[in-house]
Amino acid sequence: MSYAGLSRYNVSVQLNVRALAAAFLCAGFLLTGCNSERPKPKAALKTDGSRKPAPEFALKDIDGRTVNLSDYKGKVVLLNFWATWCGPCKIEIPWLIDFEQKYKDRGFAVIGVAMDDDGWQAVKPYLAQSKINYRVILGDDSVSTLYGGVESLPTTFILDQDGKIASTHIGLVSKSDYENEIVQLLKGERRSDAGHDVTAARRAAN
Amino acid sequence: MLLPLAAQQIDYNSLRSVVRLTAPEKVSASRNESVTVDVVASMKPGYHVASNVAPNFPLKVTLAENAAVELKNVAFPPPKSHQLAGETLSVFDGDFRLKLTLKVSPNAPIGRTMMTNKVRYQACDDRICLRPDTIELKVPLDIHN
Repeated sequence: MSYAGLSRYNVSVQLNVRALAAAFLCAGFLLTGCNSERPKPKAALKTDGSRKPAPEFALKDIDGRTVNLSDYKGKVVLLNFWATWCGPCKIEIPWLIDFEQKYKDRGFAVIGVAMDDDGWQAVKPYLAQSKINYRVILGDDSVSTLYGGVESLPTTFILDQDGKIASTHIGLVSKSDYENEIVQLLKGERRSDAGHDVTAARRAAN
Repeated sequence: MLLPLAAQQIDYNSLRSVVRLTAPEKVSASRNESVTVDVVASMKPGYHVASNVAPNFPLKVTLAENAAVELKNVAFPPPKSHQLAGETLSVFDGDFRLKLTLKVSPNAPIGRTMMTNKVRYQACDDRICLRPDTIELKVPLDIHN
């Protein structure tokens, strides 16, 4: 046997700039710890005009009931793509449980979209074990495609009361990033494309 | 029915390599001979792949059907332990070597054949997991008497 030389085979795996930026933010978070002096991260809600409607889907929950995204119109929704084999997703789950408990009576809901290839066989035991209190549905390639091709997990979309995507997070971000956005949306704070707080302006006009 | 979101909307257009494989440019062997092919996998810093003994998506190497050659064995390095979210994961990270042992068929035609090795992996760092993927690694095999 003989080797004539070496060649390199690059494997392209899709990541995105936002994910990398978030990685640096996350690393900064880990380095600085959780003390109260840490500056609060800026919320990254899109302006009203740049929000696109979240694609509709109809997927089954653990009880076999069909869940349509349109059922949630009027609510702020945290749509979390995850899988039982995804370690960073598991870090977020207690946060999502907390959000569901804290904000469900204020017009908020978490929907977990499990992307496990083994389906409920993998997901059901995990739901029981982790005491998830929010709706979990089983995702597939179709819903992944609808949402731009979910290449990495966790991927989270926060939807406003009009069913539009107000923010997208790829990879693990901090609990406070999510919570700031949820609270802003629940307060009905809206931003114009010029960056003005439209809600405050309307209040002042009245 | 709403149209799917364009990929650009969530910035999937920036491609990054998290796994790089280095293999011989070509391999020579005679009929009925066993050959070893070293494949070096290099992970992007901070990333790891599930090891060959991990319960979920173990690292797996297969050879696409080829009458001239058969994959007999893959030797993996000892896996490492990685702690995340209260769990101990069995992983490979950094640079690691896979030793593929192949057997050339006694009736293999003389000349060049292309071996297509498929490496299935699932990679994560501490904040993101990529969905399982398969790399095709093509290595030419020159068969002689």
